[in-house]
Amino acid sequence: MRSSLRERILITVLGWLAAFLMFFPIFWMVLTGFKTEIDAVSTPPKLFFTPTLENFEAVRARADYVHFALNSIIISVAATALSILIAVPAAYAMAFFPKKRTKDILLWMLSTKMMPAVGVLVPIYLLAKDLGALDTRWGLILIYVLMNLPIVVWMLYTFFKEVPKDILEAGRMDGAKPKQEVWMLLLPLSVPGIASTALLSIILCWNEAFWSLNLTSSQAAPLTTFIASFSAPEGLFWAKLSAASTVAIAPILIFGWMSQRQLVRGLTFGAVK
Amino acid sequence: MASLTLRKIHKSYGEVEVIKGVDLDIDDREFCVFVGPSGCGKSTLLRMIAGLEEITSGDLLIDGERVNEVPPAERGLAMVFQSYALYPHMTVRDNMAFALRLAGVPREERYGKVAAAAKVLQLDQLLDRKPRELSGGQRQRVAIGRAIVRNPKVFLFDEPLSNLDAALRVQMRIELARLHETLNATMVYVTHDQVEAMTLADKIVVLEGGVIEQAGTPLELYHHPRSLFVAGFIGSPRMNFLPVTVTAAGDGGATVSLPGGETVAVPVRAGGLRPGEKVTLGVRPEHLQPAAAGQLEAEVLVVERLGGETFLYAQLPGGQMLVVQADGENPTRVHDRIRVAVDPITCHLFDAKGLAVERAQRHPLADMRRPTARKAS
Repeated sequence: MRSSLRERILITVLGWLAAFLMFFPIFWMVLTGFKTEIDAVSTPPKLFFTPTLENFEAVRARADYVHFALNSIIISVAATALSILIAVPAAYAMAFFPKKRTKDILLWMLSTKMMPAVGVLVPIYLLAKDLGALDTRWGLILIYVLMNLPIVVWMLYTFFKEVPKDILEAGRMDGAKPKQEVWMLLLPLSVPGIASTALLSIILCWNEAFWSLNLTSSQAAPLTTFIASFSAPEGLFWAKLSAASTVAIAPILIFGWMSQRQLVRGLTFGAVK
Repeated sequence: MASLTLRKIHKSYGEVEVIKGVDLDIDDREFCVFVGPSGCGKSTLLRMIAGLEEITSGDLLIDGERVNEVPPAERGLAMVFQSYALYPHMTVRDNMAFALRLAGVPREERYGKVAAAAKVLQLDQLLDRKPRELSGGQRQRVAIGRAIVRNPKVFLFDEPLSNLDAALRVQMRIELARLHETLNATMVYVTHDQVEAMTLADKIVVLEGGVIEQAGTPLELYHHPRSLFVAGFIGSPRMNFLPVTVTAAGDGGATVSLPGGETVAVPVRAGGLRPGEKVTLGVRPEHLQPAAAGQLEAEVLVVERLGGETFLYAQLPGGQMLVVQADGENPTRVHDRIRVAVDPITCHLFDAKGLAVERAQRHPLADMRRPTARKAS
């Protein structure tokens, strides 16, 4: 079954179109960051203009980028590490010692992701306030761990399912205790899966805006708060907002770019079998 | 080395009972083969011995000691898996040394033991390779090597040769037989291949539907199958079964009328049979001969020539198929009508329940045991 030339051209065109649609907003944002405020709002939009660095200069002068970026890095990495630490034993038990209700539990965990976060905003906010977790890194880390655990457990579960049971049983025959079984056999065999899961978790944490905007203000504020601070009372400054957004997403964009092979493999895992 | 005893072993998954009470003794240094069709419970039984499956009820004894609750590694067993189950991220050397490493054996000592085992299995040159760089046969040998290094009391094999191609399977079969001789170890081996069972076993255990149909030496099962199932399972091509009617019965034998009207006096202890009873006559293809004076007449439908021997697939007037093993020089062609001679001494009779009527004479080789190899030092 070979597809005809026409079909292949059609698929290629569609592929480029989809890629363009997804990439365009980012492209436009980066472009706007280099425009003057007047160019940024001109109609029709200008594709060609004299680039300027004044927005980046303004952004740098107004806020401490490094402070926010550091918060973003610390919070996403710590939250990811913690969720994987919790999810590995959970996924191990579910993948290799399934009980009657294991599938139901997995589905239930995932179903919690379907609830709109705003529904629990008030209780979570009050809890955070009482615990003294407002505007703290650990508070946000905790929220992110809870937010990402269902996806992390689910992904690790699918990756662990791919590890032949025989290998772990051979380990058990060889005298491996459960901890050794996980540490010396299961984890080394699922390194690619764990890497994809961690990558996805980091990206989700980095992009998370709802909780970070509501639960932090300055001390623990990540880059999302940094961007939001540019759509401030004085009105919208598109060029400065774009410049701020560009520097905010730059690290994760480069990170994602470098690890895209790993990511794609992870996200399509189990889908293509 | 060790003996194994299974007493009233049961296994259930929820409501479903898969092992329905197995009693079995496996002697020290014995090569015991579990054989049966898929789903008969042979692998489950092996995994229960290994400790990978819980025993629902009954006792498992190793050297007389109850080990139901003992974890796998402490039972002193080693298992070779059908998929080999090598650790893909470790070299051959580390694969083989893994158990020793977990047991805290110093590096020097464990690599020494690995080197010794590797020599026996001709793996010396491959110790630094990863499993993916090995051929199927080599992986198989590493899996066996991993078991040997642990110096276990009992070796367990779960269909170890079924992933190999036919030629390699024969070669590994011979290597396994030699290994049993060299290691002088108790081995329990699961297979669905009755040729492997016949050639390797000291004792074959035929399982069907979670119970033991029969356990005995290969030739005991071949010459004295206890039931239609065992008779059909052991031997290749399988035994011919013909519906016959008893015309006379006594302690000296039973006379039955064959399809076509001729009669045969089968030497069995037929005290329980009555004239007029419908029974099944079993006779193996290799015990039938095309002969002008044969008692059966049939039309040949398929001829398989293997060179040294020829299989004739023939149809009796009643429609039943008959397989006859003739010699390689046999000139019979398709659609020829042939007569087939039945030698009464080679015939088996099975009653209406499918149980064998005991044969009058025990086959002289049926109880022959392999001489115990070297005495354990």
